[in-house]
Amino acid sequence: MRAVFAVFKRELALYFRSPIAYAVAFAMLLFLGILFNGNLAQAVQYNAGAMQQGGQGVTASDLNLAPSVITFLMFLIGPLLTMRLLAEESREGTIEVLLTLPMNEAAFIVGKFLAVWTYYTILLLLTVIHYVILANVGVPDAGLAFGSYFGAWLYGGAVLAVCMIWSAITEDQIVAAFLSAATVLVLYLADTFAASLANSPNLANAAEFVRELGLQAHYGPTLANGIIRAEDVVYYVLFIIGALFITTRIVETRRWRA
Amino acid sequence: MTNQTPKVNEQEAFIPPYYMLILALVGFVVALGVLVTQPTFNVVGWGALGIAVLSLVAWVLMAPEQARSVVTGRTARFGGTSLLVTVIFLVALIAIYVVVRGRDWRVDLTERDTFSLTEESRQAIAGIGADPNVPQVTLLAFYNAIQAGQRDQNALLFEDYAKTSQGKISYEFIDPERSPAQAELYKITRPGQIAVVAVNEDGTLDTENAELVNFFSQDELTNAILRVAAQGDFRAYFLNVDGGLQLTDSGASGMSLLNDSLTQRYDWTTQQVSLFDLMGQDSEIKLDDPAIDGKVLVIPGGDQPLSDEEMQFIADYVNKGGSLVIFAAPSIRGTAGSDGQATFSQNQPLALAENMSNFLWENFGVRFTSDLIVDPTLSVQSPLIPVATDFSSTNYITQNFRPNQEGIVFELPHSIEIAPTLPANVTVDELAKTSAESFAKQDIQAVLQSDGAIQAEESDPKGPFVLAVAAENSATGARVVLFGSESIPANNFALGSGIVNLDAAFNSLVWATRFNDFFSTVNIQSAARPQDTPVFASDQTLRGIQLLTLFLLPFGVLAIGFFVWWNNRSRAR
Repeated sequence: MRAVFAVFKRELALYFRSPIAYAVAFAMLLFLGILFNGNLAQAVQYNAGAMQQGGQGVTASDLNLAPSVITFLMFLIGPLLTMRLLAEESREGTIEVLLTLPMNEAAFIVGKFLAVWTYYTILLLLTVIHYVILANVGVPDAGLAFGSYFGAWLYGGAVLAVCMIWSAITEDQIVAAFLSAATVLVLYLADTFAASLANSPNLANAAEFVRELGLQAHYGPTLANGIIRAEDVVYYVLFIIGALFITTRIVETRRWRA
Repeated sequence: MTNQTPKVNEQEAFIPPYYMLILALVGFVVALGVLVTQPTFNVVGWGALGIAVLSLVAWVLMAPEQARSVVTGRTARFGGTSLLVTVIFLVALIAIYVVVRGRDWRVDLTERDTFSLTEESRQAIAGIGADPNVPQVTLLAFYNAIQAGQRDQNALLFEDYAKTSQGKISYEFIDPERSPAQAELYKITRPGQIAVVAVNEDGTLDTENAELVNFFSQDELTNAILRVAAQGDFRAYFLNVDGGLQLTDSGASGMSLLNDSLTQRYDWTTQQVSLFDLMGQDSEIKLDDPAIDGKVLVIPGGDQPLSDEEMQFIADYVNKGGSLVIFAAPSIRGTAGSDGQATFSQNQPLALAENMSNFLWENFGVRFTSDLIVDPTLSVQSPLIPVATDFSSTNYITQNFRPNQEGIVFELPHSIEIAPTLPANVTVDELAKTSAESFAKQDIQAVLQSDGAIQAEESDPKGPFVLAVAAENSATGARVVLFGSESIPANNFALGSGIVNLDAAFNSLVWATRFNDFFSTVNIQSAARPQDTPVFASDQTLRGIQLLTLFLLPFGVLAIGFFVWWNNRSRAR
């Protein structure tokens, strides 16, 4: 546990000393800010007209889109945050040195993962400002917001864990980032692919299988809407554990490959 | 000098052994594809699996050294163990997921109760669960595979229905594309519709009276369940009178649309009966049957007065708390001549007959007037077909009609006179009135001879005139609704933009039988939540939000990043 904490502390400090982490945060906050302001201004304008005609207006809950947008952006954020984690250690040869230290590979991997997940959590928490603003101009649904943030947090963890696999496989950060982005996109779009498969009655089972495999099916319809299902939470937790286990095994191969 | 011949590599095979490995891989992939995508593992799957196994065997035979090194080499010893452990670990994770998935634990955190029952729905559904007379109800949700996400969401709400009703409500998801016969049975036209069906005592589904919810909303679904579960017995008896409208006639002067509304939408029992049928000792229809939740006698026009005996029968029924709705026939009747031209003559309607007038006046303080209301400004086709747009906002029958935007069309109407002093315990609501420009013609013969150009004269009473009233005797519970024209329940004016004739006719039957009290228990509307409040912000607030979220926050983070980078750079130097 002490080894995990040591790696975690070192990696987290590295994030706060790395300009790329700030660049990612800046880009994400700017993008979400533009989206949020655009939607809010439109909603206020629409509501002014809708109230005159006695119609239903746009509520604060309809505008709290940050967690859902972040889950989509994870195909960019995830690779950017993880591409360096193991690939750079391999390229510079420091991983061999680290592996000679009195700790096992699992502690090394978990420490790194917790660091990147913590950094992602801080990014996510920065967007809570949108919820606070909405609470001042309307009445957002706190339960729905909690569900969507909690889901986005788990979703992010799963994405970061799967991206670490590619960072462990290749020494090239760019290759790791590209492969990670492709993998996350495939997992994100599994839902859409399943829907296209479902058009054929013979492929309904395959569609269900592909859908269950994807990340979005466990977030979009449920967690993002304030429904906490045990199967979704367990899916993300097991996804993280599985991906970290595979990453550990890959790093472990260095001991006997040579 | 020796003659050296080139050494031929005898190990080099015609087909490189690794081709066999590629073939085996392709075979396994195809077999896996068949396993996942096809309902059964068919001949293609078995063929691909066979090719894969044979290719592996061929590879072992063609390159035995390679095969041996794979099994006994360093990679095999360490990598094989690692792979095996990984596979076992992943299988264990999948097993845990499958177990949890089967448990179906879920909770709706939304404050708006989007996916769980609102307080209004919960009370209504709990009532169903507690009532032993209410039948079992099944929700058949016709969602296709594309709507898997929606299915996951709504399952939570369906589960709440089932729990709150103590198992009286069950649900089932049906893919309409996989079960087209089921979809057709419940008249499903598109995926996403929900059929609410009562279960008969013998366990079969009452498909005939199933309610279809087209667009998913909790209120709609709860109301559909309550309608299906409601066992109310409501009946409307339409009297078969001379010259009266016919219930099942789908022509312009028929009442088929009203009949369909009552029977198909609200499950009423309707019947066209003669007074002779009702008055007979052996009549199957008992107007005083306490088992019937609500009943109403309707007089749809009629050109001949009732006999005194018949009138007494109706009076007795009403005075015992019965309900009566009268649509008065006009004082002018048109008949088609042999040359195709219509000829008009004066008529003596049933509603204006002395015995009826006396009964209504003495018991409820209202009666039809022997006049003809003309409105040159607010009418349809002719001033003789005025439109009333001034409605009572307190009576159920007209309370939802929008004054001056919607109208009831009265063809050749009589006005209704209300006594200055009403009988004891009687209250009267003026349901609909004509405009102030309308006037009353009392000389019907003069109107008939006027050749269509009807002018108001000094002696003509001026509007507005009351054309419809609802009267109630609180002591006996009797309710009477009078309309000055028989066009109200007729198909002719039932449909049309802004015309509410059908609603007026329907609502009058509902009010007369108190079906609205019963219906309110089967028609809930969830209260608005604070979370339904729309967002509002002044321009100044919006500018402040822009400053914070577009500049301070992102550029603040960027500035910190720049500071960190600059600091690192300085340290590195």
